Amino acid sequence: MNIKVLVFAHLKELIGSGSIDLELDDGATGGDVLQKMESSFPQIKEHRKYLKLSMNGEYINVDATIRHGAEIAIFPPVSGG
Amino acid sequence: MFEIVDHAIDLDRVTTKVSSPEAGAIVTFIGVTRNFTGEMQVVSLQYEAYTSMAISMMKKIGEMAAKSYDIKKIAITHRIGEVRVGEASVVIAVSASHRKPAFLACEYAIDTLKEIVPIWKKELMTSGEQKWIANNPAFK
Repeated sequence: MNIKVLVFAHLKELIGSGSIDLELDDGATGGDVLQKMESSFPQIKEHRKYLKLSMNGEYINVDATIRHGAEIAIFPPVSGG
Repeated sequence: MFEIVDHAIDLDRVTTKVSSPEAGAIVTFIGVTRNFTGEMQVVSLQYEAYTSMAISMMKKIGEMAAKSYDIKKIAITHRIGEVRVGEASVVIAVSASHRKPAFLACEYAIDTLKEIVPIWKKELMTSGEQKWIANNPAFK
C-alpha cells in the first residue's frame, strides 16, 4: 500500500520536505514506517528514539498496524506553549 | 473553543468564549515569548503546528479537564508563525462556579498542552542563530 507521511519541525528541515510518499507491505507497523524513513533519510537516524508517531491524529506505538489510507505523521517531541 | 491562529491572539475573545452566567471565576493563562534563554538573547519564536491533530488534542485536553474538575467551559487558542518577545503564543481561559477548580484546570491544561499537542517552536536569537526547542530536554 502507498501512504503519505507528514513530517514536522526539526525533522522536516532534516528531510527537506513536509510530506513523503512511502510504499509499505500490507500489515506494516509504525516501526516499519520509521525503518523505511531511516533508509531513505539516514540523517534522521540519530533522532529515532525521540520521534513520535501518529495515525489519523492519534499517537500510536511502533507496533501499531498501519491502516490503508491513514494519515501518518512523524515528529520530534512537542514544544508548544 | 479550540483554535490555532496565525495572528496576534485577542485575549478578550478567548475569555468571552468561556463566559457563563453560572461562572463565579474565569482564570486565564497567557504564555508569552521571553527575551532570554540562558545567556542567549531571543528576538522571537517561530511556531509550527500539525494543525488538525493539534486541535483534536486540545479538544481532548478540554474533555479531560471537564471530567477532572468542576468547571463550566474551557477555551484554548495557540498562535503559530513568528511570535516576538512580549507577545502571547498561547491563551487558555477556564470558567467555573468557584475559583479553585478554574485555577487547577487551567494549570492542568497548559501542562498537558506542553506534553501532547503537536506544536513546535524554534528560537531566533539576536546573534542570528536558530534553534528548535523541545519541552522534553532529552531531545536535542
